[in-house]
Amino acid sequence: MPAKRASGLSHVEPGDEHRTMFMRDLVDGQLRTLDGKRIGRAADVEAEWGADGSLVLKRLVLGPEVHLGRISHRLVGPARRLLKGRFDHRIEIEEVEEIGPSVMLRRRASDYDVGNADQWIIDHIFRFIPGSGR
Amino acid sequence: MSAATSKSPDAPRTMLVAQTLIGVQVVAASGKKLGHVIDLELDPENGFRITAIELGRFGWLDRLHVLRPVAHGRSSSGPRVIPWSDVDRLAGRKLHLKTEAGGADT
Repeated sequence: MPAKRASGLSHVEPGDEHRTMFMRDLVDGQLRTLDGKRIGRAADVEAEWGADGSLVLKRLVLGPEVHLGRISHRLVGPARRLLKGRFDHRIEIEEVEEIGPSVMLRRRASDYDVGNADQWIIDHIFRFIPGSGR
Repeated sequence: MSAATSKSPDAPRTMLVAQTLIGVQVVAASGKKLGHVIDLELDPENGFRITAIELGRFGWLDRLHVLRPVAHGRSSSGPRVIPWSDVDRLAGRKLHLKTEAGGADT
């Protein structure tokens, strides 16, 4: 899938100018930072109604609570009561640099507050697995 | 997050798009059921606005493209696309259009 820059058509590859973007290109896409680190997948996108009736995407939302809500609306309430939004994280849509096989972000991984679930698993789970190199 | 919202000024201003819009039924102005939202087109060059909705007749089967191998060669029609400007309001799990057919492309 050809990548498309979020801003600046001058960066778009020839022949890619008219490629239509879809929600499926953003949602569940792997988020990669400027330093090449994978920091999770967007579970959903928060949008705001404009005064003119437009719907504008504002923030990528990450976290298990939102994922459960997409599986079934019946899970929204229990997930909210259980998790209380503690594991949800948001990234402003302006941070999206390029949409392709991965969703590329403008800054380094340390600049985004997306929790450290992956690092926690590496530190506490993978270290017991032989050959993990830790 | 309430699933019921609309374009009216007193409606909730934010929503989770995939959770709220994907899968909802699309209803024409006359009340005719047109299908379900399987995806949304967006314009990154214009502030990430939603520009159109993509309709499928079979809900999650369309979303997962399960029917694509079956439909291939038997139907020349692609997914139907309705411009976002034709959307009137979202009430519960139904997306109401201002127009009869929403100008759907086939």
